[in-house]
Amino acid sequence: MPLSIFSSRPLALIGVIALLVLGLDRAVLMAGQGVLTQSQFRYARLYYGDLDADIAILGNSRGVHSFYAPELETALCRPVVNLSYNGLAMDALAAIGRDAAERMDGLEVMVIEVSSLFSPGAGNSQLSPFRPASAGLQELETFHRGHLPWFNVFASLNLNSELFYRAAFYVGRSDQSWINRGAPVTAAMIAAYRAEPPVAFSLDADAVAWLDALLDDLEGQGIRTILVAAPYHAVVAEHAPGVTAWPAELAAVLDRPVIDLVTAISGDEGFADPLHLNLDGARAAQDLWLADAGDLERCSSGPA
Amino acid sequence: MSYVIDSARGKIEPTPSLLRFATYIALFPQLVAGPIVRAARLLPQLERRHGFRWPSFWIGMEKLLIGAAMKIIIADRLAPLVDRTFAMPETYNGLGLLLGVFMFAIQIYGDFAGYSLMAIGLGRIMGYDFPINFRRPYLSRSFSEFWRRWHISLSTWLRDYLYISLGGNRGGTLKTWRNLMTTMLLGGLWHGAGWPFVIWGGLHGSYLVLQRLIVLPVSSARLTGLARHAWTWLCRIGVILAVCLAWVFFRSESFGDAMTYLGNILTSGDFSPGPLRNKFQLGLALLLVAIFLALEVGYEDSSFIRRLRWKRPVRIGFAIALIIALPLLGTFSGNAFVYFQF
Repeated sequence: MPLSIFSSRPLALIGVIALLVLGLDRAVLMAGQGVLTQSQFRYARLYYGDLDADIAILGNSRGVHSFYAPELETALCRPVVNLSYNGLAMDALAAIGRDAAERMDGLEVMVIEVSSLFSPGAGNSQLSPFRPASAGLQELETFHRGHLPWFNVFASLNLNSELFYRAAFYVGRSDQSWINRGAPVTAAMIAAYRAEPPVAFSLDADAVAWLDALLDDLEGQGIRTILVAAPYHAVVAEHAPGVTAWPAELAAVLDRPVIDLVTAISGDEGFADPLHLNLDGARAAQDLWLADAGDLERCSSGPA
Repeated sequence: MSYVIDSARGKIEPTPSLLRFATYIALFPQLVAGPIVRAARLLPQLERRHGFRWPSFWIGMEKLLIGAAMKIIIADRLAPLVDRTFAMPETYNGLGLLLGVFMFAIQIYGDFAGYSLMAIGLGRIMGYDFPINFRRPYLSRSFSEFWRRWHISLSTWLRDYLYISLGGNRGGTLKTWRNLMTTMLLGGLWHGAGWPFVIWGGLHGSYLVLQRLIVLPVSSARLTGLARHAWTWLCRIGVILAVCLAWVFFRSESFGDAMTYLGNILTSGDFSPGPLRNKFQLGLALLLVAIFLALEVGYEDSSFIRRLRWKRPVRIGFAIALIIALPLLGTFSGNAFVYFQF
């Protein structure tokens, strides 16, 4: 016997289920925020914890794998935190940089790995778990995607992000030792890179403007900025010759020095793949950029 | 085709209504990728008056939710990992390549079975009853059982309109083998005019022939207890490995790519987890796959779970859990359904 669509019992059941779902959704969000406050993940500490350091590093995945914070701390005898993340585009980097300057009282130096200029920004939406705590990230999201009503209906959508899952992974343990540690780049990886269409490495005016504005803000607050173009494997310069020119172009546009390490490390041993260093490469790069960074004084000779 | 053949064979009465025929052809839940709904099943339903029914609505919504979860939580999370592995197999070690095939096997299952369930669910909400298209195929203990559980609407279509039309198993051993191979080769070609699909079909054809050739030393009917379980799992793993071998051809762009992929697995010699890339994403995806497979195995092997699954509070609780899990764990990057291309 067909029941009418207006039968009161099924409609009431739908109402109860909807209420249960919305209630559980909010409960999941609260539990997720509990995870974020307990996590030692870099952005969880920045936005929901008590992160403080003298020196902060910002960048995309090349920033993650070119700077090893624990050994920098040893070399400089100052607290250092790496705030880089895979795929971080310059607009998101600028928002995080401003938040770091506002939230980290003792911040004196910000090191920026500038190849974020070429990150397409696909990973920006991954920052959603931290959006409620950052006006800058909220503005960025509105700028790129407009208002997203689903995020109001399902609040737990804000937790649907690789960064939240990582934050859960780093509950009770530091994420600052995260760096490539596996075998060096292989011939097959180099051949695969050669087979890809070459990257143009042309500076995007909007991305440069985001960086320029961030540098002005930081320097206005008395925070020293150091710009570094981290090393690439030799195959990148061979396959995409533009890679060697952009750091000088950027320095000219910004009228600020850029420490150019693009071709500074040769051989395969220091690279995990053509675009990323491994721990050995990061150590070698550390000696190079510290030598060029002026008044960042070493208190030790670094790792034995 | 089934409408024309079944009409010619006298199995169905041709419909006098052009509107009804056009509705059968164009009914949107099953139009793009299946399940393949035959005229004999759908035309009589079109002749009935369809009012809204709450029981059908609940069942349809439940299927829609489970299908969406299979697609968005499982298949779409695996898709980028699988794409990278098959795009650059030379940069992965043996373990990475094996995981790549395994993940593709789960991806295509989650994608297509998820789509089919959503189509069945949508049909059910509108008052139509579409046939089930997948029934936990990776838990099959033989290749013939696999094809009774995988893309059921296609495999029964191939059986009824090709295999049986060719003579089925009525003409002796050699003719049966020939019919099996022809049916599976054409089944491969149904997916696309390329050698990888032909080889995929050919491999499945040979599995079905080999299954008839090889007399297994043990019959599960004679075993009891732990030995029976062990034998069941041994058979299941054997079927999964063989099916995965065929998936390499199905997923590769060309025969050469597939051979390179398989060659790299055989010559790698490195099956350590150390060099695996995207470990975090990989770990998360495999964790979700493990939960999904545990649910499948539980439902298949435990009568307790099967009974529990049909209790109303459990069904409502499971549906609510899925509604919560979809926004929390789903991948919303707009991945198309794999089977839309076939």
